[in-house]
Amino acid sequence: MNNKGRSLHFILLLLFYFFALLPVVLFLINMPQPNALVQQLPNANSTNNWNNREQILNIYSQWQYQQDAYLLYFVIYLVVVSLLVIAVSRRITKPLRDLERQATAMAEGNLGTAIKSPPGSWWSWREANNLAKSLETARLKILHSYQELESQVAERTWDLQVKVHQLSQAEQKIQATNKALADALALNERQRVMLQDILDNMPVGVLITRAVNGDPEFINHHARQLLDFRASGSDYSSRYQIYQSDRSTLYSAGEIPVNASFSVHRGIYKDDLFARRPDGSFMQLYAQSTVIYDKVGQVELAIMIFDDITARKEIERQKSEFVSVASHQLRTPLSGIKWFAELLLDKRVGKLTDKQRSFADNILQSTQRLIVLVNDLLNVSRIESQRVGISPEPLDLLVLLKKLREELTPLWSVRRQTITITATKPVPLISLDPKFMAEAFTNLLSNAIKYSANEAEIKLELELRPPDVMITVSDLGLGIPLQDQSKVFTKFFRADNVVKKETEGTGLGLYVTKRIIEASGGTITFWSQENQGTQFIITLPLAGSPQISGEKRLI
Amino acid sequence: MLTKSIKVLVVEDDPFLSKVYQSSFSASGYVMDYAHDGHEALEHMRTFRPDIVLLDLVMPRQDGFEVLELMQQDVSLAGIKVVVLTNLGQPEDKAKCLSLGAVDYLVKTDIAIMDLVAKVKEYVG
Repeated sequence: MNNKGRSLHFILLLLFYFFALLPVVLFLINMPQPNALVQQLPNANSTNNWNNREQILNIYSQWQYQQDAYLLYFVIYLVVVSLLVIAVSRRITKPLRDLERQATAMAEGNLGTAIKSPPGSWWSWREANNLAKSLETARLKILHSYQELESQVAERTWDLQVKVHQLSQAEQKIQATNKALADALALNERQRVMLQDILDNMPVGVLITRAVNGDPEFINHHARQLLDFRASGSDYSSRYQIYQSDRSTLYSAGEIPVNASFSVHRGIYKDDLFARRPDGSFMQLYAQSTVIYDKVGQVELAIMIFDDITARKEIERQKSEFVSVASHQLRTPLSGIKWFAELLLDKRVGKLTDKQRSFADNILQSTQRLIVLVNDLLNVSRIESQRVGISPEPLDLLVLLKKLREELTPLWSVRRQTITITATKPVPLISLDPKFMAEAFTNLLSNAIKYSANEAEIKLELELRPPDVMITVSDLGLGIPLQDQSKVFTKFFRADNVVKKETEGTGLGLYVTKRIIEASGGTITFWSQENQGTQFIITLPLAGSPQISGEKRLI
Repeated sequence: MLTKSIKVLVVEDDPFLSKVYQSSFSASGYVMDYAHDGHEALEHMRTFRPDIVLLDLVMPRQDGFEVLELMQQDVSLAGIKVVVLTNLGQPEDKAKCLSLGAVDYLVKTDIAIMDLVAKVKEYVG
């Protein structure tokens, strides 16, 4: 509050005093002085005039008296006037002061209390009352606008609170999303690290290349060790140091098994390859590769898994060599027995009794069975060691089957069986290994003969079913019991019913046959019912079987 | 009987098989000689001068392949026919022997002894 200026009391008093004192002062100035009165006395100039002296004293005492009376009147007058002024000014200032106090309170924010009008009486002044009323109106207006403001503020505040709430909810959502995202990323990262760890710690080589340029995308630890991998260099083959089976020719870029799978597309590409060790020696690797497609089905990556099979191959080689040597050693005395039996049966060395002849015949037949068994064992050993190569050449299957039928004449003619060979349409020449095919169909045909009754009919049918040719070998013989059917293609399997009949067999024929047909790119299935017959269904690709290099051929 | 004695050299390390050859060929009137390994076979060829040799492949000291190679280098041995009789059934072995001058390649377990006699007769007849 501004305290400058004088209070109204003070100003009024000052005015009153000035105008009240002025006439007094003027009166006092004009009041007849005793000296003047004395001068008016007779003999005024005589100082020794006792009359005068008395009169003079009288004048002075009267003047003195008058002066004292005037002073008293004056003091009373001052007091009365002062009281009056104070009363009047109070009358003026009190409502103002009240208003001032209330306005101050209002200014300090106390808008709740109504402005009181000065107490009304005949002498209360209207202006103060009006001022109070105006102030009250102002207060009410201020109060109203304040309340309005407050309600607006409250409204805005509510809006704000709502917005703040919405924001905080949105923020929570964002935080939750962020957390989920971070979790997902962490999981992703963990999975990536885990995948890398798994791949790196796998005891096989893993090489992943990009379809775009054949560049490596990932090479695991084992693969780097196996391939003596050089990260630099533009020539893939020298980078990978992968050699073909001759151990001197590096694979060209497109032929590297992992990249070869790009052209194969579907399925798994398998190959043996060689890698040179730092010391110059070679190790044999077995590689399998396949391609990985992206979301739109485009080939994106190729993955090759490979392992050092040098030791395994060496064991296989030794095993195969052992079987091969053992078989060869067996075959020499077997040919001796066979030939001696033949000599015994030859009329030139002397005539035998019927019984002797029968015994010699049995020796010959048993020996021949033994020779077949040894040959089968040798073939199984070679097929299993994958040392048997496939050398396809254009082959007329119909001619081959007719030739086999003729070769097997001793088996079926004595039992007066018939073998019919039919082809629905002319079968084109197919690129197949003749020795393989002869072995497979001899096995099937001799089984059919063996397990058929005398005078039975055996059917060989050829049918074109592009992209394959289908060959069925059907008989009406013993059939394969249901419980044995799952074991038909396993090694040394012989069905219960044929064992009981004491027919000869090694249990290797169908095993070898299946291996041959599958190695040639074909399939073999069968249908059979005990005592009703058996039908073997073979498919071979018209495109021919792939060429597989190998050191050995079938016997 | 044959007008001229035909000389057959059997190169075989297995004595039982030698006996089979002896029994089957002697009856047909051939003059027989026997060697038990490759080294002996070459010596006998020079002294015995056979018309035909039945040559085993797997033998001690020098094997049948070496015998064929050495025969090619020795002009004095030219004209002696060689029939390889073995139990090695691989096409590669057969091709190798034929390329080294053998007239035939027979697998012991696959041929009947009388068929062998007939084959030899065919080659020297």
